Amino acid sequence: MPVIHQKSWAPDTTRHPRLVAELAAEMRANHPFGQPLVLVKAYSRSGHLSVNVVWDKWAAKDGLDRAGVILTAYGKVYGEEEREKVMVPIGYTEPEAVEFGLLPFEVRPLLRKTDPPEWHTGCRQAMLDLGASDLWKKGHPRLRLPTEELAAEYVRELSTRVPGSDDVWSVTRATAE
Amino acid sequence: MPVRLPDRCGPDCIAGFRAAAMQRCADAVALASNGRRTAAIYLWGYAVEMWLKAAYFTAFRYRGDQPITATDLRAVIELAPSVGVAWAGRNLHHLPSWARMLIETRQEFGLEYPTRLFSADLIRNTNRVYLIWRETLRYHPNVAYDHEVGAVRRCVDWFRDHADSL
Repeated sequence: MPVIHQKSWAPDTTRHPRLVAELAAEMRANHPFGQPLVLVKAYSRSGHLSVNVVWDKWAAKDGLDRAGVILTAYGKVYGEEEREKVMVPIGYTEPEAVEFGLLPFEVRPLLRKTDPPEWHTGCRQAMLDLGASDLWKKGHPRLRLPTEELAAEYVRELSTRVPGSDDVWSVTRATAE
Repeated sequence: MPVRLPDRCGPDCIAGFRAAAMQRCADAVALASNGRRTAAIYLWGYAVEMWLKAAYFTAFRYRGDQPITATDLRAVIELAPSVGVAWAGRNLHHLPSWARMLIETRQEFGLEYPTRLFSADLIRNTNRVYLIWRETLRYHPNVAYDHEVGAVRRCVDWFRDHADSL
């Protein structure tokens, strides 16, 4: 019987090099807000990692291509040894991440007709700037986040970006739709 | 007097789910080849659901013939937040929740997949099925398009071929 030593997954750096470079740059920058949202989880029993990347730029990309980009970018930023620990590399758009139960918290502006008109456009723009997705419906951005704590940080930032809007923002817990 | 069909059905179990999934697939193929496209997709979706459930309880080391009770199934929803899955309401037909729950559970237990891209493939195929399938399809007269049948069938073929690795 032959003994065959099979190679483990090797990154194909020729596929989507710009996306790899962009994701790697985002990982290095570690911005406090906005997309892509990189969720890294370590599993104590195996020492393996899951790296779920929520990014609307995945929309036109196949799931396996997304995984390849994540693995390659992760290796560039954290080194090959760390990349070898990543056993769950999955890319989701924001609507997909909601459907798959990664983003249970929603930040929304509850605007009244009597609120300043500039708040309506200001809130929408601030949400988009912080990574809200309008893949659900063009022109109607929605901001979904993984934890209540992060949602509270986003509310603080949104209130800063739209002065006076502190009482407008609400955080609700929701699941898939 | 012959025993009626519901009384001939044993309790849910891994072996039963897997056998039934294969049967519902064969039923779906027969329906699709006779133009009953929505019905075909309807059955294929349940086959995927059964494969995911069978894999999940296999990770929990249930025996093939061990009964899976309603309490066992509800417990999955209760466990979901502890592994970072926000389950969709109380819907036990929600395929994306099952897929994530399966992946997270396997990783927590240290059960490796055959390749490091396998989990991404599982999510990809689940997502594609769930873009088209809902358990509520039965209430609606809409007829599925040919391309929707093709898309679901390709994913179901993947699940069938990888049922033992899920």
